[in-house]
Amino acid sequence: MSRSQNEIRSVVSKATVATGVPYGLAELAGVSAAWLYVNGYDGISAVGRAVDNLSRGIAKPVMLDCHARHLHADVEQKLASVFYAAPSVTDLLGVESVATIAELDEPLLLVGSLVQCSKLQDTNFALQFTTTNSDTSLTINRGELNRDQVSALNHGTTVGFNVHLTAFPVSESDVKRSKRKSAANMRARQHSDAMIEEYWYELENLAKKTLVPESSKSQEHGAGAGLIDND
Amino acid sequence: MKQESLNLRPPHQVMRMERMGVAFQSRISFSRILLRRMQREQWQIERRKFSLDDHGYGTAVYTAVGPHRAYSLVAFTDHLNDSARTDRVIAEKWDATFVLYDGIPSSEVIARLRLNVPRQEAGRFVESEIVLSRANRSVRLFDYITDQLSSGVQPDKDKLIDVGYLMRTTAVYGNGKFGVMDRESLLDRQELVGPFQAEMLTVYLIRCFSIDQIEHIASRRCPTTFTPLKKSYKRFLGVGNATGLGMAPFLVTHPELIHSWVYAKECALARVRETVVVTSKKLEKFSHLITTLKQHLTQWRVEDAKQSSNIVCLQRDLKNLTAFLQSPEFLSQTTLQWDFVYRWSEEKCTLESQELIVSMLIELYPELVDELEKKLSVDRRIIIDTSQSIHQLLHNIESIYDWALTIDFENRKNQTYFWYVSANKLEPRLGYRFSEEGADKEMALDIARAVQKLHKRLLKTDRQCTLMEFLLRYPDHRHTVNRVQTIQTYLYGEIRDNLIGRNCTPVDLLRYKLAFMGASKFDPKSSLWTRITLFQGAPLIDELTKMSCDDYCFPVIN
Repeated sequence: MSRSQNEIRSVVSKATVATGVPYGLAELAGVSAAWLYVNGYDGISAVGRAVDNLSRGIAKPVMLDCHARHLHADVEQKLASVFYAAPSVTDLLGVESVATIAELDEPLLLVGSLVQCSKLQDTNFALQFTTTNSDTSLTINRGELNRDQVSALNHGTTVGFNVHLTAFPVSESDVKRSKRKSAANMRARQHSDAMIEEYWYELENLAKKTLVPESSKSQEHGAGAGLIDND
Repeated sequence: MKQESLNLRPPHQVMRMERMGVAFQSRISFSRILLRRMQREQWQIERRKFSLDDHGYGTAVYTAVGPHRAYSLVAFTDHLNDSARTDRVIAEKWDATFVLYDGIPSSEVIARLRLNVPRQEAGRFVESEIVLSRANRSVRLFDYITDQLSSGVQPDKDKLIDVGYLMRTTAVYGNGKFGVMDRESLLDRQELVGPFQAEMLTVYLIRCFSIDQIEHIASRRCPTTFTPLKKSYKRFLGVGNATGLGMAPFLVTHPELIHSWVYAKECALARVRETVVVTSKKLEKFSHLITTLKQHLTQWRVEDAKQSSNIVCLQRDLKNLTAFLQSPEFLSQTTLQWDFVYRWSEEKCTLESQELIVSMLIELYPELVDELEKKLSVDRRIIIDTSQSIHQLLHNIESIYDWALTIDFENRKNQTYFWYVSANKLEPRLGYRFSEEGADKEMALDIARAVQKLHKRLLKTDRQCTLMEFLLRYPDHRHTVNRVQTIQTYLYGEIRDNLIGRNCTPVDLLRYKLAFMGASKFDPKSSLWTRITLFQGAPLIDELTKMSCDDYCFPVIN
């Protein structure tokens, strides 16, 4: 079933809040997942796994080693949760040109966040993801993702990815190229099959935990408008 | 947005609920913008399908054809028992349901829509559907007018004035809700990129349908005696809308956008106030507007005691304005007369009259104002400037949110309410914090309280700490830091009142947003909801390309 970006943003951010992630971080996860979905990547599975990692204590919030510009989980031997790492590394790259993340759990969501950041801040990024048996490089140029190796980032791992990120300013040719592509990017749902439904339903159920069931009292006054239409 | 060097009213004056709650539509209201475009671009509206039975039940399709694309309103009407008719969004059946379709629907598409549109929230939609809506017939007016027309008699004008519409929508959904097209997909369409243009087009076409439907039913009932509704009566009829709390949080969750709306309106007012030489033609137009308004106010009839009394005050202030315009004080003024009028209103009139005069002044100068419609959209930015120091952030909070820092949140009255999303309808609601369940799932609309918490935390933080470090340590404050940084740039984006306090009156927020939509005849039913009318007095579809479509700011029936 096709979903709208708005539905994805809403469900993902609510589900993430229900997992205990603060709202300011959760809404970024929603934006990232919606962008991934529209562009044909299965961000929903990545969110599903990231939620699971946090709930089971496999992944944790991050802390910063300032001098090394290095983010890592705030508990040893744990993965760095992408819900915390992605906004934090975006913050870091606002003032630094290089950063690293140790043992990141879901790199695809980081990619979605950085694409947004690249568009908003006119910044390009070079990313290198390393695990014990893989090495993946990506570039993001003014909100445009070099797609070749993205699929390698979306299968979950128990050891996490070490990520090396470099930020650099956009060139004039990047600006011209992204203007040409921007209209195509705005059209939604070109790859609506890029979603594992099981994860979606899990997220929807989680998101429902942020909703308040109606009581007879809230039905009477909670929404306003009159119960009887005498108009 | 590039800021203009005009003498704008400051945000702490404009963005207060008591002033927001008395706003009026203006030239840059969204329904007005839509019709101006349709007229300018010579849009044609075709009734492509009208398969209704004698009772008006069936399917209809109206297609609006613009220079680049066509959009179709697909309408389904069904029998509805009176007992099932309710204003509430919790309803499950309606007299009519609608969808705005991207293009011209095939019969297969209409068949699919037939299975989903009448179910509204329970249906499922795809990207070719842009807006979903539903409406109920006016109990007071619909059957009455049908009876009259079928008997060959025009309806009583007074009854038309009392209601003002044949149908009243109870929800107009867009932007991805239930699977419909996302707003992002409209960004490269000039005709719909402005705020709520797709929704306004839907409502305008619903108005066309409601008039056609009532004439159809009346003519089928008695073809020999039937007479069509007088054109001036048709023009007077708009589309009603019942709006509850669902609309309110939008004003809080879209600060950049709200800033752009308010900034455009304030620029419009400032441009008019800064007009140095006022021509006699403009003065004449102003006088004419006052005459129209006096009539409009006599036709603005509501049950609500407070609004009724406010209307009396408006009438009194208009009378005083007329006298002021003839006073030696005003007549001796040779320059900047509109600024003089506005300043007079601030001194002598109620807030509602002041805002009415704002709309009147804006109405006079299409040549100064209309181009501001291009400045009503802005992209959302969820990004934090971590180069900002803790010291600077504190300073900004203290200068922008001084009003929030003085609220005593230990006092329960200042956090009487909490906003939440209802599980049943996925819509925002308001609950009593100390007597209802659900406060632990509160929406992030408690801006004043959140800013105060952030301020307290920052005061306890080492000033050498970077914002990045602060956010890592206190991620709960991230949303509020982002908010404060956003408002630094978008100063009109914040409502400067406590939205969870006992004195919060959500209907003020509703009126403010509805005024931007282009609503008139605000008819508050409580502090939580209101009825309004859209497109009252607007040109009919066959008049759209012929007559001036922009003189219905204060609709009247003669």
